[in-house]
Amino acid sequence: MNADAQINVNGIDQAEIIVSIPSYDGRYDLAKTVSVVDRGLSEFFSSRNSVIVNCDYSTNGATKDIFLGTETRIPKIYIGSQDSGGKGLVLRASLQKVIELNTSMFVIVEPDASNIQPSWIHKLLEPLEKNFQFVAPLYVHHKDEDLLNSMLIYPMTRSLYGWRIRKPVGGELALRRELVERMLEMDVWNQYVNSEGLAVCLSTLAMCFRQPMCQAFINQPRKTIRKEEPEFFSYFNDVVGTVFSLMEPLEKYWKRVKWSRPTAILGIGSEDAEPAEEIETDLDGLHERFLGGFRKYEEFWREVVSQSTYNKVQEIRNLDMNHFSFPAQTWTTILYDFAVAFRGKDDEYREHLIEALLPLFYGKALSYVRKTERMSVQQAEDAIETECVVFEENKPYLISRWEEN
Amino acid sequence: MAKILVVDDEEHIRLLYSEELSEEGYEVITADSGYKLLEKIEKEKPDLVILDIKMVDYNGLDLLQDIRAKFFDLPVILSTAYDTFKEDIKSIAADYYVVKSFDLTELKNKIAMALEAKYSQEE
Repeated sequence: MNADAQINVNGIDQAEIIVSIPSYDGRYDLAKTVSVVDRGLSEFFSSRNSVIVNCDYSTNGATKDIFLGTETRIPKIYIGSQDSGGKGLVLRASLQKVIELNTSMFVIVEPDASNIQPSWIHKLLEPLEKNFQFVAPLYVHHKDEDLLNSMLIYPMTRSLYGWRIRKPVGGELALRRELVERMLEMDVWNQYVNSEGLAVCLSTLAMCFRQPMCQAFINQPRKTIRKEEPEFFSYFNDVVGTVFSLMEPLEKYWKRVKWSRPTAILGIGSEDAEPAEEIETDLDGLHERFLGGFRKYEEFWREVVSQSTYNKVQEIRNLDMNHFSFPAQTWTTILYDFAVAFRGKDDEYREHLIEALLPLFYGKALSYVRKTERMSVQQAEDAIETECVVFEENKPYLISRWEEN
Repeated sequence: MAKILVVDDEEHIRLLYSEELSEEGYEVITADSGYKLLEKIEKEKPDLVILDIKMVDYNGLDLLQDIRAKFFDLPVILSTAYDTFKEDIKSIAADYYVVKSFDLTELKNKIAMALEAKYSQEE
């Protein structure tokens, strides 16, 4: 990454706290996020030396002007890269700043949450002061929100690495320096991590290192714009690619793990939680995308998954909307078979593989939304937990298939 | 031999758990309240805690929070008369929960799973 692209306005050479904010081509309200972070640090950590770092992977200079032009009490450092091509890569440059500035606490804040509050900064950093090494957020959420995380990323990371971090995909995360140092030494920084997969990667490494971890309860929903096609596929490709690709370098960690463990939940106060907004899910659209997958990937699926799983997928194909159900067992073995197929392949095959998984994910998402239609958030969470146990129970299947290949 | 700490203010539960879990080969120690529980854990170093949610003087979910903050990877199984506690977000910091019963099959399964999970991560 081009070091010339760094602007350290105040000549900062030491900071106890770094809050790192990624940005891209003026998307989202960066100035507002910077102001909220500034208020959070000033209000709750006024005795600490802090710095706000903007990790910009824009193709133009507009974002830099917005960041540097936003008035703050906390000093700022701009890290720009017009040739990196990825959020993860430029965020990693801010992880390096932890070493450079002798920082003890590091936070990533995404600028896409329209309702971010100064208290979020407090909730993320406070556990680090209590010697937790890694903090993931636990927002109030609608049961149909972020189905990629609920149906795929959470069950996979939980069954693989054995820790129940409900939101390993971020948006916000906090880490202590010791963990950052260990993470930077790992050989895991591939193309998926360097794009949108960094948060999943950091969460995964934290689980592997078995350091004190917790989830910070944020009693508000994280309001953001839902990703639609084609942006969604790009995101899907990066985060699923991250989970699959990390399985090779982290094999010695996940293969020994059985079942899963909870983490501490911090930040639960007496204040009432703000309810999440209603979400309307296009069930017909999910169904069409699932069925559309057969036209394009039917033969490929037959190559990747076992015969019994393939037969089950064909059965699901014939279910009408009122009876549509995608069993956890089938979904689990599909993901495990895809993870095994990903191993050791070239980039072209891997992209095709993840693309072929997308229609099946839509089918699983449809099944979950229908199943939980009349459920409370708590009941829907219980349903997700039950599915996660199926992932854990079937882990020996994954290990045996992994060892065959 | 794994050491299990049973925290429950009902004597018959402590006796039942002690007897049956000892027969399974576990070393069982007990506490009749949450009083100085963290000190007891520090001193006795149990491999797993079975924690009653509703004791006369203590809220098990609050105790669970305290345990997690200090002993982040100590397995804790919540023991409860009803499963309505799941509405409380604090409950997800438990490894498992069991509804109290004279048939301890489920409890024994959960103990085995929690210990297996812990030991597998320690290897």
